[in-house]
Amino acid sequence: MGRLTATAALALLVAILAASGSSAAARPSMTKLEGEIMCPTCHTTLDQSDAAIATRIEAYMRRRIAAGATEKQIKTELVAQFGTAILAAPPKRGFDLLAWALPFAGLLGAAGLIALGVRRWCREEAPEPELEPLRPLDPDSELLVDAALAAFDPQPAPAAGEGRRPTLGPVAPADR
Amino acid sequence: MDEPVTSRRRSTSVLVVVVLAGVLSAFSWAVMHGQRGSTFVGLVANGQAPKAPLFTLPPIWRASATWPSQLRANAAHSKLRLRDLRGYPVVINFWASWCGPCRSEIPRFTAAAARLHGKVAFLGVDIQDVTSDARAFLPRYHVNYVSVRDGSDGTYADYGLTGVPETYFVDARGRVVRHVPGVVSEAQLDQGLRTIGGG
Repeated sequence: MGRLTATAALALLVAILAASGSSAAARPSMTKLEGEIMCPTCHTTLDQSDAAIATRIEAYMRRRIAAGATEKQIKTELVAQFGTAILAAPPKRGFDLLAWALPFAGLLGAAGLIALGVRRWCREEAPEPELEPLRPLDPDSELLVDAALAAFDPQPAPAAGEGRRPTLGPVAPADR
Repeated sequence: MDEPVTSRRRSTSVLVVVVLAGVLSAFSWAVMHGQRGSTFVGLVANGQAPKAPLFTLPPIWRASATWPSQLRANAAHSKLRLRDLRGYPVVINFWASWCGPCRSEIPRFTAAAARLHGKVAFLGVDIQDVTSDARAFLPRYHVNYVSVRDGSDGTYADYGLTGVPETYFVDARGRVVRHVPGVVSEAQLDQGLRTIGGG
C-alpha cells in the first residue's frame, strides 16, 4: 500500500515537472524560430542566411519576443506579411495539409497493394492439381529414352596428360 | 462467379487511371501557373503590351497629391484596386525597405512624380518586407506617391519578379509597355514615361 502511494506521488511529481517545463518552453526560442522561418529572397531558413531581409525578420522576431508574443502569434504575423511560404514546413490545414497527408497516403496505398498482391499470389498457389503417381516405363520406351539421353552424354574422357578439359561428369578427387 | 470479379477489376483500373490523370493535370496546371510571370515578362519584352496583372492591395502610404486628381480618392480606401487607375499612365515600382538599390532609385521617382504632377500615377508595391520597416522608410525618403503592401507574394509571381527593385510602365489602357528589372536609370525612366504618354 505504502509502495503504491509512493509510486503515485512520484508520477504526480513527474507530471508537474513536465507541465512546468512545457510552460517555460512557451516563450519562443529564437534559435527554434530561425530554423522554422524561411528567408523569402534566398529560399533557405533564416539560420542559414545573412541576407538583408533575413536580418530584418530576425530583428522583428526579437522585438516581438521581447514584447511577449508567443511563437504562434509571431508565425501568424509573419504569414500575414510574407505569405505561407515564409514557413519552412507547410501549415497543417487547408490545401497545405496535402503535403503532410500524401506521403502517408502513399505509404498506406503501397501497403494495401502489397497485401493485395500477396493474397492473390497465395490464392493462385493453392489449387495445384495433384500429379498422377509415376509408373515405370515399358522396356521398349526405356531403351528409346536411354538412347536419346546418350546423345547428350559428354565425349569419352580424354587420355590423361592431354590437358584438362571441362567435363560434365563428376571430377575425380585425384584430379585436383 | 467470374463476371463480377472482372468488372470489379475493370472499375478499379478505371479509378486508378482517373486518379492518375487528375494528379497529372493538377501538376501540369501548377507548373503552367508558376510560369505565368515569365510568360508575362516575355510578352512585355516582345512589345506585345499584355494587360497588367490586376491586384487589390491595402495602401500603407497614401501620399496621392502627385496623382491625377480623379484618382486621388482611390488611395483613401482600405484597398486600392489597380483596375481603378485605368485612364491614366501608371508607373508600378516594386520595392522593399531593406533593399539598397530601391533606396537609391527612390529620389528619381519622387522627382519625376513632382515634375509630372497630376499626369502620371506612381505606385509603389512593397513586397517581401517587414511592414513596420516599410512604414518607417516612406516618410524618411519623402515619398510623394502612394505605396501598397503585398503581404502574400501574389504580385511577385504574377509580374514575374526576380527580385527588387523592378519597375513596370503601364499605359492609360492598363497595358504594360515597358519593364525594367533592377534599378531604373534616368534615361530608362524618361523613355518609359514617354512610351506610356507621360513624358
